Amino acid sequence: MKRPKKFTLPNLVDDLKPFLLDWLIWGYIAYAVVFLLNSYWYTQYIDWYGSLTLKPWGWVLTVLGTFTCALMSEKFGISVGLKTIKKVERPPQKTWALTNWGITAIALVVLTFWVGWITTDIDLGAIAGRAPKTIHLWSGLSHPDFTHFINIDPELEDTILGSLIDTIFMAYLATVIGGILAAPLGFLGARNIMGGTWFRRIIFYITRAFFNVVRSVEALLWAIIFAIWIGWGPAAGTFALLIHSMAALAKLFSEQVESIKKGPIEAVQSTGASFWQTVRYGAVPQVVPQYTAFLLYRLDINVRMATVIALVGGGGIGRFFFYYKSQLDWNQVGAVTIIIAVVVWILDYISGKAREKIV
Amino acid sequence: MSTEEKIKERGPWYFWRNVIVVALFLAAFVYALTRINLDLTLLAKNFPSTIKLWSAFAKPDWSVLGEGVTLLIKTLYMAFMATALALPFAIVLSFLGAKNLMQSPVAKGIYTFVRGFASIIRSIQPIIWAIIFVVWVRTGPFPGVLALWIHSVADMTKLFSERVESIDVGPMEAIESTGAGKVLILIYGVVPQIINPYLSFTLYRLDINVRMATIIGIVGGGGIGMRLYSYIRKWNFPKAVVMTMLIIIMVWGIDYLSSRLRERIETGGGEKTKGFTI
Amino acid sequence: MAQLEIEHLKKVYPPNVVALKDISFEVEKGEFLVVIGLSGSGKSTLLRCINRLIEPTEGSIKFEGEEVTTASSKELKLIREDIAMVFQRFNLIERSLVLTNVLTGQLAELSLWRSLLGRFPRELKERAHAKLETVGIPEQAFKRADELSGGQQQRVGIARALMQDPKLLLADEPVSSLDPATSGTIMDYLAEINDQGKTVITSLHFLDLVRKYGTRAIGLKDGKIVYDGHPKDIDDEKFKEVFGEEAEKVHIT
Repeated sequence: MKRPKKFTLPNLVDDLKPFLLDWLIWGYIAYAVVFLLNSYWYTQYIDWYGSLTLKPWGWVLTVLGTFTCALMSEKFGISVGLKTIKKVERPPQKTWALTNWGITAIALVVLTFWVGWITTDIDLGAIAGRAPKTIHLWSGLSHPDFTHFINIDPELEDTILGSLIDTIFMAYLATVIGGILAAPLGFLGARNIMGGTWFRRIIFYITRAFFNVVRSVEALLWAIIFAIWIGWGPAAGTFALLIHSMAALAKLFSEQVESIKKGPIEAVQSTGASFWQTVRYGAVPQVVPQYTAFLLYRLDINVRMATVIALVGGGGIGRFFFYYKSQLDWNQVGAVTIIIAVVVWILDYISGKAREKIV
Repeated sequence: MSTEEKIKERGPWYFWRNVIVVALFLAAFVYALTRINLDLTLLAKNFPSTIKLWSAFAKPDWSVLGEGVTLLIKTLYMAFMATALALPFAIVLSFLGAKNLMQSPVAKGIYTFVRGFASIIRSIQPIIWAIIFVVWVRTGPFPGVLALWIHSVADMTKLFSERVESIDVGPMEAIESTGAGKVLILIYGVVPQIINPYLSFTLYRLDINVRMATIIGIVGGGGIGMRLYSYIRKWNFPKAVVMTMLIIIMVWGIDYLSSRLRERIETGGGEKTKGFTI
Repeated sequence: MAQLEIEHLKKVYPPNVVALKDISFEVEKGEFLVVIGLSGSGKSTLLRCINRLIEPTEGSIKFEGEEVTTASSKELKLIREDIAMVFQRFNLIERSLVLTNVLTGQLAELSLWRSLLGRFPRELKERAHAKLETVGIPEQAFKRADELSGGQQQRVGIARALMQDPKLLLADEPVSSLDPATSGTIMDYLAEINDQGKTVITSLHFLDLVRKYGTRAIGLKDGKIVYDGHPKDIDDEKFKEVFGEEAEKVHIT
């Protein structure tokens, strides 16, 4: 059944996509080359290092130059854009690394590695040269001082064990509440449920945007906000973990809802069940086990995050770590580190086993 | 067995087990609420203290945009370098940490050592590693890269070796039956089965590293987080807001790209399996 | 009045794929009607139009005198209670218990809150166990549905359909995913249901099954009825008409 091909706007955009990607790549190459020139051979003409400033003619040259290169790359068959978006087949005899675009891709990775090496100040000499500075650290780790594990530290007015329990309960609360809030959000963010009418679709996009933005801000940054909001303490840390978990779980959950199978729903519908009965017996059983697994996985992540959230005033065992570290009390730092590692490791193991059993 | 008996067989025992589990969860929840003192009314009561923060969203200070973009690019490079440098280590270690490849007594010892070490390193957050490396090689992006690197090596080793452990022995046996040696078995029997999952995990880890790189600066690990934190400490919210927006855009973008690429790798470039609409 | 009357039924999938064009036939109570045809000939669409899992584009379907195509959602639920369906891929809720799967057949009779909480009355549970006994797998009741073999899963599907106590049973290629031996058993259950006076409409691929079980056969090709008669009368000529020229020598047994 052949239908005449329609030339609509989206089609045009689709055709332009490979070119735009190529243009972007050439723009990146230009950036990298200027960066490298700058770092080895600094002149006043090409000054791109500080804050993306360039003389006006430099901008014109860059835009025109990269545009031409992008146009040419399709001609010479080195277009990464065509390969990735249009999925051009490679000649069967060649391995991918030897095709034109393969060489381009490898060259890009090498270039990135080169620029990255310089821009992140990698200095292997420092690792060896400054190793003596870390001796007290290793000696602290090998001679841990567990006195405050069950004895109250007068400065922090708590025991390590107490704050450890805090840490676990912070993660627990954040996961449970976050998980409960995420469930409806996940439904609202699932395309197959909310794709029907334009009104629903607007809700869908708002929900998606909301949880993607919230998810993009790390829990540690949320903790800063909540520490300002309600003051330092485990409650601020819990709120931070909670809101981040909610968004992350909502995303996973919406993907799960989107992948439910049609068959069981049809079967339940065909018995004369109502909409809610169909959701309860056709859809929910398909998502619950996977969702429980996500919750366990999230609990695991939250415990890890809860160990460091004290850095910005979020409470938990990290309080001891950062306090002892600021006092340069390395033996106690060692003790706290060991406790964190052991507890996180145990919880990781349990959560992994439980997830295996569920899914 | 009559129907009556069958209902009984499952009856009270099953019911009470569920009740006990739910009761335990609820008890833990209530206890946690009181212990952590999670008070929602506090959020409303203390809202005025955050007005300065929210109002900054209405009036961001765009003068730091150029600086922010430069730092953003640097942060991306940190994540890239950490992942790229971790990859070769993780590949080698993943074979040494795969139970099914490490059978002899000596090999078993190596296996236990590799996996144990990876677990311990993984249990310690990159932030804590960053503190260690800041002491070691001074403040800047380099300790940040090292912290992400060591955590990535451990994490990828674990993921990779679990993948190697679940490979199909069929192709390996087929190669072995031709009289090939250990290296050839590895190259032709194992590698083709793991190359796509490895790529996929690496992209996944790159995604995580980008997220982590945005906060590792708080302890002196360089990148955009370092500047963001200093603005927050100076209570300069209009500038902090610009940094936060940039972080959101980057993390969102990388997350999208990485998940699209992973999807393509996992489906072998084929059609995306379409979900179903109610 | 026939039990099921279909007149000028048409189904067009957007944008313009015509799956059924102008289908009309009647089914009497107690018939064992088999729909045959190549894949893509519209068999599944036809069966799914009868209980409106797929919305027909044009035409009328009357079940026991009631119009299906224009029924409100409430009326449709009542109609669906009397029409059970068995699927090719079984369509069980895989992670739920076998018993729960059978019980879903009775959802329509349950009050909403009871069904949402999953509190099925004892009498219903007993009936579900009895139905599992009917299909010969009483011992599997408390297993998860995905732990069962294909044949066993289809039996659960039939038990679920029986739970409805339907007047009409639709079976969409009930044995296409099963091996020949199991197929026979499943078809025997359908025949047994038919013997109890229930109408069965099923789509099948295998001609010998059609001849053995059907009391009437309808051949579909490109969404049109090309044959309507007794299965025993399907000769090579008719067979070619239904399955196309190429299929002549391919022996579908």
